[in-house]
Amino acid sequence: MISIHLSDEELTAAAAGERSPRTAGHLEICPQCWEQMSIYRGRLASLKQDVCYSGGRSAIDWGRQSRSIQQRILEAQIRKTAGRNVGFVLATSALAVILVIFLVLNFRSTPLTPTTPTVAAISDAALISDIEARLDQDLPEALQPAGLLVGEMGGIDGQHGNHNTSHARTRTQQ
Amino acid sequence: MNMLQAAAPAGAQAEAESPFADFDEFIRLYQQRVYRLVLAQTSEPDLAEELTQECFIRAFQKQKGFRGDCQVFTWLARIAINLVRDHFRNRRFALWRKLIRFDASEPEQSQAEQVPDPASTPEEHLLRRERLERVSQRIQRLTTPQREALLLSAVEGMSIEEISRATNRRPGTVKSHLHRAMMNLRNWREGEQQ
Ligand SMILES: [Zn+2]
Repeated sequence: MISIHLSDEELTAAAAGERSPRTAGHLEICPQCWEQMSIYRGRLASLKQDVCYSGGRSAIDWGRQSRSIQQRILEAQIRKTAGRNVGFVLATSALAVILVIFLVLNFRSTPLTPTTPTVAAISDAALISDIEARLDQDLPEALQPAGLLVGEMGGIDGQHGNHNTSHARTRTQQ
Repeated sequence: MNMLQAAAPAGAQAEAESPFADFDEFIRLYQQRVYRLVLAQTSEPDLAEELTQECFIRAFQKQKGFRGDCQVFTWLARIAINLVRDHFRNRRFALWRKLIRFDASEPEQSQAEQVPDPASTPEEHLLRRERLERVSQRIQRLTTPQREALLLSAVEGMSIEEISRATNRRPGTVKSHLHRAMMNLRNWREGEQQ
């Protein structure tokens, strides 16, 4: 028994391929609804035909469009890479400028008063006594025989304690 | 020649299986469908070509955003539909700006429309032009959501669920828009036959 026909909305959805179990079941048994749905389907098909025909172009045109798209994508890629490089260069330049400014400011902040050379005014006598003190230090074990020899020579030379002092004296005399 | 193989982000094995692995092929595969979808909405061949190109550039840039949870064309159609919406929004805005400035210069579209298709014969071109006008007359009286639902259903054969994804509207809303579009089309055709 066909009591309730499908609504227009159900028929439209059915024409668009959307079928609930109720719609599908009803369409199987109701020629009226089937006919109406077929009319809607025909309208969709007619629209499709018109759109496809009016949007049709030659293979040459599709090829041209395809190349244009590829070209534009490549250009966009290049722009993106160039933009990234420019960013890097700008960042590096900014860093360099900051560094230079920092160095200049730091240089200016140090006092410009001439610094006097800190060469200690050591007298000759003090220098000699310092050397003598260093030479008076104990000789290393390996050099002790040589030290004894020098000491003996020093003894011959005037009974002086060691070679170091004699050497120092020689220098003082000079 | 595969120009965009190298430009595409290289990656794991999964990317080789992605629909974008060979982007040149991807363009060849879908450009006609995108073009006619845009053309049916704008009725301007040059504008449709421009927006189609833009659509693929966006697709290339956003390819990582495709999660594979719908057909790739549904995802592409969504980009195309958003571009058309943005275009008309901007055009409306530009029109208001012109009105406010009392600028009566010729709109650029009328010049663009007169560029002929170089590879078609003049007869073909004329026939296509006529058919486009017919489509345009039928389509332009619909609201934007009705038009989108109708074209995606009729021309692309998308299901309500797919149209819902492509247009970012609920399936129930899509069904309702499709129904109204169909009623509107019926009224118009009956008027035409009288
Ligand atoms: Zn029925």
